[in-house]
Amino acid sequence: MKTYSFIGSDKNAGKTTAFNYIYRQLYQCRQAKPLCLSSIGINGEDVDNWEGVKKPHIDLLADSYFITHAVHLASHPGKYETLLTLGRPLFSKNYIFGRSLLEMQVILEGPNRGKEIKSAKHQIEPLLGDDAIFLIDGSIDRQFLAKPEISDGFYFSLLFTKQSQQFQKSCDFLKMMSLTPCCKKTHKTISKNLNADTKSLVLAGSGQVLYRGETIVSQDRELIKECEAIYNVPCVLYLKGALTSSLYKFLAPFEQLQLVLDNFTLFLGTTASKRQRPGFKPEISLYHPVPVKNVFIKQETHFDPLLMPPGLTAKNIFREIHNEG
Amino acid sequence: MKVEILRQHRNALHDELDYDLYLSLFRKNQPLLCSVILRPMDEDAAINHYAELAEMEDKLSPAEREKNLEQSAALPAIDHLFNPLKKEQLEQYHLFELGNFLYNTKALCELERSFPLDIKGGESLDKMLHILEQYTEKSFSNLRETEQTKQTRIALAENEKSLEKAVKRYEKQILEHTGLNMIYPWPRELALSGEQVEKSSS
Repeated sequence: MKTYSFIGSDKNAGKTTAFNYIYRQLYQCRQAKPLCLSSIGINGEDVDNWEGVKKPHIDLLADSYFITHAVHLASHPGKYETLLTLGRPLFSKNYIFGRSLLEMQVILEGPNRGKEIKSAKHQIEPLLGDDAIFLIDGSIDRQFLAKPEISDGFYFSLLFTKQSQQFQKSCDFLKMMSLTPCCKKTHKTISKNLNADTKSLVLAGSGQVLYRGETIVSQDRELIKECEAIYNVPCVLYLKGALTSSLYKFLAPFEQLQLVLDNFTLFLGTTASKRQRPGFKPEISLYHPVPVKNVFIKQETHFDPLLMPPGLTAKNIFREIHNEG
Repeated sequence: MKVEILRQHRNALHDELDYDLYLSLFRKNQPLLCSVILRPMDEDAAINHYAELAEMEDKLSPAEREKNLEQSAALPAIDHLFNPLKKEQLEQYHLFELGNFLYNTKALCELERSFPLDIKGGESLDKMLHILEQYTEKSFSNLRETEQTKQTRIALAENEKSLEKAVKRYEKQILEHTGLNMIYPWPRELALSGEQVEKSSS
């Protein structure tokens, strides 16, 4: 089973629209491949509770699989079949894995913790089969989505408006997509020295572990001290914590440093747009690379296709003319 | 199953027992027992408790015990279902959960030879299962369809298809008349470039 997650640069970046678009595309050419939909947050409501604007619906077509909170099925008796209940003690809420018998407009609210999603995948995969596709309407603040055991690929929705912060955020996403995976040798050394509690590693050029941090990166004073000590030495810094603006600023002059982020979500903290961009000297790479499936844009201002990383094209599903990179 | 030690005894018991090793002795994959809090017993209760355990162990072979535990793990937690059941407000998925619970309880009762349940209880179980089987199908997954509901469902699916075809025809007409291609999602989120607006209004 392949799992694809949808991530948006901002609220109203068109993530749910892209989710619906891909779902319908896959549905039309699915050739008996089972499709399953779920969401990290609550999705498919009429109105956004935060901003009070209308939101796109999620229309499940007949013979589609879904995972949602049981309460959202109350108005759909007879339109679906229940295949599995995902409840306590493994899940915090009572989720239903079902199959639609008819078209139904449903609110999707699936498990939103890494352990829960892993367990859900483990339970539904034998029922759906190897060739199934599982689509998760995700969120950038859920780092676990970036783990290879959770997501096999990502669809990104980027919002380009005249507001500089939103614009910059979307540009940060594009920059993130152009990050390369760290080299095999570094990957092997990191993987050998990782355990479940590791939040940071400082590795010498020889691969020797100079420091292992197990506290949250942004609060790890020892890590800062260790970094200061290796200012002019070629080293690898592995981080499993957000690259905050203060950390970004601190690391900016480290010419000899190779910075390896565990996954792409760490590059996109909420403060990303406030970073001072020029002059960041360490080379940044990723421990878990980003398998990009597609990039959707919603443009309310001019968008330069040259902003796209090499090999990727942007698709605008809101306009007739698509911006091809 | 979540196992924890009663708060006020946590430190004492933690010191006395190798906490992780001790808890590793428990089979925790029992949804029916969502949460268990361990607390100290007084001496009399402990003597009785261990006597009961010894008696159970005498009657059950390890293989039988293993089978029973496995079957117990298949019993879903249904405590969230009691309130709607009391209010006579069961949802379709509740029937699935209840059906699975009863089905697996029956299998557990059939396995259980050493401590059999009373016959009266067994009769109620069969009655409830019979009612559920009467009104649901596919192992409690669906509400049982009558010929009439089946025909209605088919008609609804046909209507959906006809509507989709009609919408596509309508989109094609709009394209021919205005040059606007009604791409998905339309029309609420369709934003037009200046060039397109000119094209559509010319």
